Amino acid sequence: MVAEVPGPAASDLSDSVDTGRIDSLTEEIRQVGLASGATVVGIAPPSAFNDFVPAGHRPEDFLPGARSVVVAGTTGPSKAAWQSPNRRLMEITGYDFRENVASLVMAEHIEAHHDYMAIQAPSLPTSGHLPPLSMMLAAVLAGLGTRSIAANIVLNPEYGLLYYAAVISTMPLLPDRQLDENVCPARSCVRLYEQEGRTPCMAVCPASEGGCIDATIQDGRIASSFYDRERCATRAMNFGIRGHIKQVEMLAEIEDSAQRRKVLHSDDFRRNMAGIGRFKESVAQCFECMRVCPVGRYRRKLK
Amino acid sequence: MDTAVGDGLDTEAIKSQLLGNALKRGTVVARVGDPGLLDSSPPGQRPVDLLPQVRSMVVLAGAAPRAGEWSSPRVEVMETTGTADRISALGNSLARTIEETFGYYAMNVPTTTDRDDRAFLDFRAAAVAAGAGTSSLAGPILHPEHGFLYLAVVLTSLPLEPDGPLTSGACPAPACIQMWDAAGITPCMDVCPIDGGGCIGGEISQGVVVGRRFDNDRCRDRTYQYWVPGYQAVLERVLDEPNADRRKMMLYGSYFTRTLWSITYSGVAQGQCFECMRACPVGGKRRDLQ
Amino acid sequence: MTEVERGELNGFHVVDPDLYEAHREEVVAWSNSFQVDRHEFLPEGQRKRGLSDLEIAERLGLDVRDVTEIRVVAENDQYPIEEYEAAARFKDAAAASYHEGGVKNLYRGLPPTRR
Repeated sequence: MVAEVPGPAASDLSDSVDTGRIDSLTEEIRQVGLASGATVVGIAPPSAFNDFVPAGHRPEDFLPGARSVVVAGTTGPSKAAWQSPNRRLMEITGYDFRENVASLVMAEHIEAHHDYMAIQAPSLPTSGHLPPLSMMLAAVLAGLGTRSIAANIVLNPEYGLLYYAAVISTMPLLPDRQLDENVCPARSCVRLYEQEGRTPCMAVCPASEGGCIDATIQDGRIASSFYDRERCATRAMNFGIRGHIKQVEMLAEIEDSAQRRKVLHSDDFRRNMAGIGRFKESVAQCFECMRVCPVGRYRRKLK
Repeated sequence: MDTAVGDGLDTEAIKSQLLGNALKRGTVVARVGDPGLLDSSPPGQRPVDLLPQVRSMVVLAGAAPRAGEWSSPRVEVMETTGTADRISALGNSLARTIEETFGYYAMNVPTTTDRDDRAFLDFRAAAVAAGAGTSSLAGPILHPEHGFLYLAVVLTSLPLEPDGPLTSGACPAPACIQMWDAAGITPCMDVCPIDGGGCIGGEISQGVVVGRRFDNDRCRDRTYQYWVPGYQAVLERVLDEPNADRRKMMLYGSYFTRTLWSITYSGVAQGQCFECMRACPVGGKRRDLQ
Repeated sequence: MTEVERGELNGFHVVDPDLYEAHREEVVAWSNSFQVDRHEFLPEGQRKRGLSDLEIAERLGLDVRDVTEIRVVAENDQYPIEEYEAAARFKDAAAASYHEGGVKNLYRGLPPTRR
């Protein structure tokens, strides 16, 4: 267990605002998000981002006067998809953007019913892999999970892997506290680490053997971690933008038209174009670290 | 128009029901237009070319960016959090309701392009014909109260009484006329002047826009800055570049990568320039939030 | 109407390949490509974060646009196209292993060399 991470108390909010009313308004917004498809909703204080990201990537940079960041999280693949022996199925249908719908509905609700400004936090990558605002950090600061060994994925204690979107708003809301306990490593993972020096995710995707992940655990806690994001991208964005870029580079250098034809008509080329053309196919194309992660796994068992 | 058609339907009540439901579900403007008003469109782009049985045109307008988005100093916000899909979804729903509940043909006209840069239908003309807004100097249709809105057009064989065009225009707004009188320019021209590397030009005479000039190509390259035209342009440079290392810098670089992201997420990432509308005062009161 | 050139590319900046090679390693080391000790709960002295392009540009005395291009080109340049093929083989093998025996049958080792 780590020391409690303090969050802003209600008294840190404006003295002129009735904190009891803020409590009920916060719950109202949360319920709007949950009713719109979010599995979880948490609120983070904008100032908390400052300790973790540089200027230009903080809520205030996108909405001056921001007072709340409302984060919605939803489950990704269906439970049946996790069961399928065809891993491609989960890769194509793993992402349905419900968390974006929930954040959109909350933003509109705030503007329409409470006259405060609200924007959907810009989270799509606009400069290589870099998003304007980190949804993973937002989820941590909103008390929805903690960063794990497995690709730094933020794990919710109950659901495990969730996808996140957020609203930045000038509306004052009561922030949630960051979690007191780290979700990762789970007890079974600590046991495996003590036996073999690896957790399940490290065993299946080790950085030292062509994978992405490495970490050390001491006294049941993550003591250090390493994550190769670029290798992870070759797996999680296997078919799509990056593969296409490399194929175009290849095509520009091939002089023989028969060879070019072979590349252009290959299944890989088609799959890359499909990944570009259909956004649900474009990301979340590798789940192997999450497949072996015990957190939230019990929820995937149905009849 | 006789409100009861041969099969006994009360089209006035149906119209009220359809438009009322659309308003409840999130559109802010719902109007009916006479498709015949678009008969002068180029062949292939008239309502009757898309649905030969067409008798009505329902125009939905809404899903505008939020006040917070207009006020954000970072362009990435509006470049990547598009809202147009929502009005399109409402159009789909309306079309389905007409067909399944009332048994008349109905199609939600696609908002994408047919050939080259040509739309399936002139959405702006449809909006004007239905009174969902009026044309503007900057280009987008403006509703007098709501300003800039996204549009959906549903063509149907269900005969509905048309609402007709509005009798007065939203543009130029009184504030723009004042600015023109004082400085010979309007907010949209000021931010995007055609004679200064931008897209918009014209004059205001007796409260009316005259002599409008508009650089469609430049506007397209700004609105679709990171999209298919950008992809095509980079690819052209790449194929013309003899040096392999420089080709790599272009292909792996941020602009080409970004165009591909935009193509992938084109539902939310088209419409990448809003500067004329950001400066436009029509509907501006709705953006005055805390 | 004034003729305009199609495809004016506002934002299209091509970094010099020699500049890229000269600074690629440093830019990558300071970016988020390889993430060491990022967890929020790690103590402040240990926890690290990636630098922004502006921060890197200030450290290296470079134009920030060049830094952005070096970073993004390097992201795509880190692994060749063969790594994408290896990724597909890895996922096939890992998913199959788990399906056969769960956590007790984890796939281990390098990606298979063939499908």
